[in-house]
Amino acid sequence: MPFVARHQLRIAGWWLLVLAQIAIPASYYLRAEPDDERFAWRMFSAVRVKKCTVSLAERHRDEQRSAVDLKHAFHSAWVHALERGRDRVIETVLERRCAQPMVAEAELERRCQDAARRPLAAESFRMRCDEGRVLTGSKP
Amino acid sequence: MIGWARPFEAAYHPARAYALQKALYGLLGFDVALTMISHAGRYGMAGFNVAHFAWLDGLFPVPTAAAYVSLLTLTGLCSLLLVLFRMARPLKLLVFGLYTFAWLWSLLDSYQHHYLLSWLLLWAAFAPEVSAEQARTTGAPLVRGAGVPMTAITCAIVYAFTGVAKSEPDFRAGYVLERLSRSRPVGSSHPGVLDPMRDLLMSTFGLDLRTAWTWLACSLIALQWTIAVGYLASIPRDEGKSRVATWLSGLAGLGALSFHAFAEVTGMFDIGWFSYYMLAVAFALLAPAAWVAAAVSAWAAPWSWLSERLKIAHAVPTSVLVGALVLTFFCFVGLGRLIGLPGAGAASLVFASLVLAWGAQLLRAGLASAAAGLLACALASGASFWLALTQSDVRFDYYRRTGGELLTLGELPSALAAYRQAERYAPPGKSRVKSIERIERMLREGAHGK
Repeated sequence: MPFVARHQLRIAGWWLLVLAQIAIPASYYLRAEPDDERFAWRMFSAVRVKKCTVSLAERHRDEQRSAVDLKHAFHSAWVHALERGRDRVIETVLERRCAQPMVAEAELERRCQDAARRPLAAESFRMRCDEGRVLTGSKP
Repeated sequence: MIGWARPFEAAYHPARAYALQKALYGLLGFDVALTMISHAGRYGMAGFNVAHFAWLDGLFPVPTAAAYVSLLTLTGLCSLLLVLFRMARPLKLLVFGLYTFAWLWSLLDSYQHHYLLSWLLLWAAFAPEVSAEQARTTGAPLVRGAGVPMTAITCAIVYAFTGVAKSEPDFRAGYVLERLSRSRPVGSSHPGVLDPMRDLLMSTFGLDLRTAWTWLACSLIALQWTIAVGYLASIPRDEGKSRVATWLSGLAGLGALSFHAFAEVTGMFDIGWFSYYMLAVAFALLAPAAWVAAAVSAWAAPWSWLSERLKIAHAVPTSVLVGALVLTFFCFVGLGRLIGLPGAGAASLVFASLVLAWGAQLLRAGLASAAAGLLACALASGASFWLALTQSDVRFDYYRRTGGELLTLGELPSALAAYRQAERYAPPGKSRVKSIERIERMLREGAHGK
């Protein structure tokens, strides 16, 4: 390849990398996942200082319901990830619970206060074990 | 120069490339040892992991503590070798790959500054390798290499987007700053970090509480944007064609240095060593070239002396150097096992193999003094990393954190083993004997209950 063409290709490559670095954080503002601030350069944002708690409950195949003590089931760092609303962690936790043979349904509830300490609508993430999909909703 | 190529082909003082790379790898080498390795015990606990991307979960198994320690140990050793020896691109790319994979492998590490470091490490691989002699000469010929301008562009993008994030209503209204600074009501005996500034604004300008916080928040937003613009202006600055570029980068430098120094001192925007990295990058890219050259001169003096001494290696028989290489290999293997952390031994073995292969290549090329330099620097890297791990609380913290979590998860035998290891490394006043006795009692009671 001639030198000029190689040079132009190299410069185009650098520009692509610059555009990627802009597109990645910009995509945060187009996505419907406000809690996932990874790669968005949103350190110390209003989302980051939200205070959230999570609770996990299960319905067994015999229709009995029980609460799961998250801190005895998962490392505290994963519980923190649930509080931060990491979708893939939520999904994997629900899948893990559904892998238990007696569990028919698992539901995670997340309650948060925003930066001004105003309570936000609780979020519910439910998985029916025989379906394997996460259904999201909100609760009063 | 074609217009669209200009940002990546801008010329700059060699001191900037030198200082940026030395600072980046130097900080990284100790950062992985002192702040990251102690958290390795949580990796793979209860067999649970979620990677940053689903395809990674499909490709790689659940990480273990040993695997994570190995990745970080190898990253640290290679980083320190880059600082002390040569800025070899293959090694720089290896450090980038290892470090990036270490955080990509698990959402346990979602620190945005680790993601930023990955970009900076990638650009550092495309920064020119300059000698200390070039870097410390104020009037040295300018150099080129896309790595340094790309670092400036990345920093500009980061500060611009943090400015965007902080422009949201709750931040602009000051609620976030209030929480981060642990603000207290006016007149409190234990004011928050920003409360004196808030009170000054309220008394000087007659502002109400919310307006004072808004002013503080907006000034922080303005600072982010000033720094962003300054980083872009720094790219053509050393070519000397624009006084505006010089002023803008100087202003941004002051802003970045004061912001990150404030963050570090107050602990308000404290995330690991993020402030130190940003201070180093700001100094290397935004400070006047003469200042950066002076800093390089102060750093490089002892190494120049050592380098002169190592030139006598030409007179040393090759067989002696080969022997020294092999001995270094076994030193690393032994030291790795002595560190007392799972995975450190494997990483030391890999590092020692890299050094052996590189040294052999240098000797085959007739570069005896370079081979001797590699040996000396590899040993110094290993010694520094080993000291960082053994003379700090890293091993104690690793085992006590692991023990605590295993205890919470009900894995008593593993928790006991971890606490016993923690006790070996416990600093004065931090004994874990009570935890050990408690677990032993729980195990006895559990055994009797059967």
